[in-house]
Amino acid sequence: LHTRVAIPNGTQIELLFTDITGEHFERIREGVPLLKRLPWAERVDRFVVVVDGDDLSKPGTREVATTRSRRLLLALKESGAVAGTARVAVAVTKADKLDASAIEWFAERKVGLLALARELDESVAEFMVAARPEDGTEPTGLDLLLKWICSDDRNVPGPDAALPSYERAFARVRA
Amino acid sequence: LNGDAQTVALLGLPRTGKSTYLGALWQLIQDPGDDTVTEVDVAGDRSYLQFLGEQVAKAEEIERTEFESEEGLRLTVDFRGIAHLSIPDMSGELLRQLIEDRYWHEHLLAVARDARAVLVFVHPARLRLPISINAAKQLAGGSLATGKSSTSTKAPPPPEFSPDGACTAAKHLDGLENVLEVTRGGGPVRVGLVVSAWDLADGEPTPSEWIAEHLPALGHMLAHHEDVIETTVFGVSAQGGPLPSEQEALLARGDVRDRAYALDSDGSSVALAEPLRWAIFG
Repeated sequence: LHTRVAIPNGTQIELLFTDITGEHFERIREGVPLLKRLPWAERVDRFVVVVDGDDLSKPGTREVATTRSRRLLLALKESGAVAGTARVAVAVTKADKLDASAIEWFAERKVGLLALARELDESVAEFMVAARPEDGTEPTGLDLLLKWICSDDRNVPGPDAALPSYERAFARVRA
Repeated sequence: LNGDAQTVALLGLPRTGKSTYLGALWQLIQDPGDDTVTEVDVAGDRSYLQFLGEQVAKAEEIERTEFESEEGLRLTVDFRGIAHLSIPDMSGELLRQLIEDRYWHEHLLAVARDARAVLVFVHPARLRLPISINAAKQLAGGSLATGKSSTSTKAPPPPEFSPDGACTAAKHLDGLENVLEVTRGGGPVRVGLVVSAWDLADGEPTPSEWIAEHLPALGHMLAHHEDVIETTVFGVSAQGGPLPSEQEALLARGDVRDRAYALDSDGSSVALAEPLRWAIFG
């Protein structure tokens, strides 16, 4: 989906959402290098690692769902594809399916996921989203996710942080 | 993976819990809530391990490993000591073939040659216990006390010996003798006995006592060759209970880390990874 949206202050933003088959992510979880499958990942501004709320809601699949998301985060880290200006979020989708016990179970596991995501983006964001609740009520969390996607808060490392000291340079040039 | 990976051979007859143990271990390796073993190198093909791990996480029984499978666990882990590991998940058919058909499959032979340590899996519900000569004669209709037949009809001739009819201990003794013959030397080889599905044997005093009672010949053979074999016993329940009958109850207990457990030879609780850690570091 390629679209242009205007945020409340009038700024227009071009958004290009990827919607690629889940098979790519399956292979990445299993160890295929992320950039081999998704060579464009280095140009991504926003990564949203999704945890399937439907799987989280069931005792038989909740551990699997969390492990899968964890492996995607590990693959992102291993790939080095997350640019210094990119942002990372962990989002639970179909959040309307979670009951109190599932929320409590995930609260503990979420700590590990966010710690790993923080290694990619110090100010990692987290969302609980129900885009189409089963009971027909209004979506929840989607507005916050979209706001985050459109916000101008990209991580920008200090300009001199990674530069070597000129005193140790082989040569100095003046343009 | 580092080229000097240490190979640990998981040996056992078919359906003795080798793959289930690997699957549970892989889940724990990935679980940040369990710090007994962590993954150091996250690169490489994990598809087979993912499959095993997810089956265990869902408390589902794992199908038998395919005969020609060359899958397994190859990775660098930290057991409070870094280890580069190669643990092939060989089909139990390969060991059965060696024992019963007297045939070395090339894959088993290669693993045995590379192995620095061996973990032998036995399943409490899949034991064939030896029959004493007295009992055999009585079953055949004879009487040991008199040496005469208890009936007037002639006893049928004894069946031909066949290795597939041998008891579990005899099979393992034979298989281990063959494997240890080709395992590379340079000091005693560690051979750990792993009683899998320990939940079925629970209530027995300790894993070492269980071996002494059910597989005494195997226990004696391993314990009395200190010059070439270093040995110990573990009880392991990788699923935490029987499947499929207890699936719901097991899932209600929580994650793999909440339901899988292991005991050392004395019956003390140890980490699920302990058999592997012992195989590497002693």
